[in-house]
Amino acid sequence: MNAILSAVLSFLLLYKYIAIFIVTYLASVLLPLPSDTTILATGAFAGQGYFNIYLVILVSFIGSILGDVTGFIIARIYGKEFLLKIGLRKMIVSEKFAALEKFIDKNSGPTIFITRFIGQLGPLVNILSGLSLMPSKKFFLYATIGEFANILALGIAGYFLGSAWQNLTLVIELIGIGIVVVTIAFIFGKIYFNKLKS
Amino acid sequence: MNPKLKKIVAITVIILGVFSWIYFVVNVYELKNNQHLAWQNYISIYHPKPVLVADISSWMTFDYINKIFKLPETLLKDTLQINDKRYPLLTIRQYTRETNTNTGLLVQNIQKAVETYLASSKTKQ
Repeated sequence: MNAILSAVLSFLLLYKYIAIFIVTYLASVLLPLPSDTTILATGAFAGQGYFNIYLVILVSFIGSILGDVTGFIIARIYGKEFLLKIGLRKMIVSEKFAALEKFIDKNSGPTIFITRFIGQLGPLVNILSGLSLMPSKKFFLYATIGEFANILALGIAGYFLGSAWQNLTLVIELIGIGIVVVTIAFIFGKIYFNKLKS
Repeated sequence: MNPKLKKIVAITVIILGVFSWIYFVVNVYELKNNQHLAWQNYISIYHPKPVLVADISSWMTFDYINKIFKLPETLLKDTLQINDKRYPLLTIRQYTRETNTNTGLLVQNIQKAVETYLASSKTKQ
């Protein structure tokens, strides 16, 4: 078990629901914290009678959705201005960035929903959604459905796995990395082929 | 969305809808007859894999170990002579770091203490 994960687990056992909220919130904003593993582990702790499974799901859901909305709002209000300030004007006015914005705008619903299941991609999509012209109601709807489905699946999996939850973390990490690679390749492939066509 | 994909999504939604409806009806029927929902049967008969003494690790708190193994709250405190006000809301690593003791050794001692307690409570029964 790596140092970050054992520190997070200790934090969860010490501060319980407040810790669940903090980890899921910060992970949804942008910090690289293992929120999926947190939900899986607390689901398992609930199965052992140390947490309440309903509260685990509720608190994780509130933390995740507030984190998603925070990322989206920050990107919407300060996003482009901030990127311009730190000298990324070239990136913002580039064709690739416009194509990426267009892609997310066009496939916003499924993109937001699917990336809720991939810890590493969710916060990035929140920011890109905030930067694009996507209506906030649409973002909120898909993020809510996606987060709820993800948290329910992870929480229940942990609950039923008991102490065997640790065996699943590596599988989740590998699946997550695989999906990230395939998704990035797919997006850039599509942008490249669209460019070739035009 | 292209029409083919739309068709697949529609069929999937219909299939899921039918299953959900059956599940809902079964749950309502159970609730009416037995005062509990059908899915609660599965949860009550399912026993998740328990934590073993060998699973005790340095990230765990004494409180967690006490509750998981149903130990008396002061057992580990007395056996291992822990003099920290934060006990039992204290992790094994926190304690060893602050007292400059060996983490592996303390984990082993905790495992021994838990095993001894569980063995003695078994013989009492």
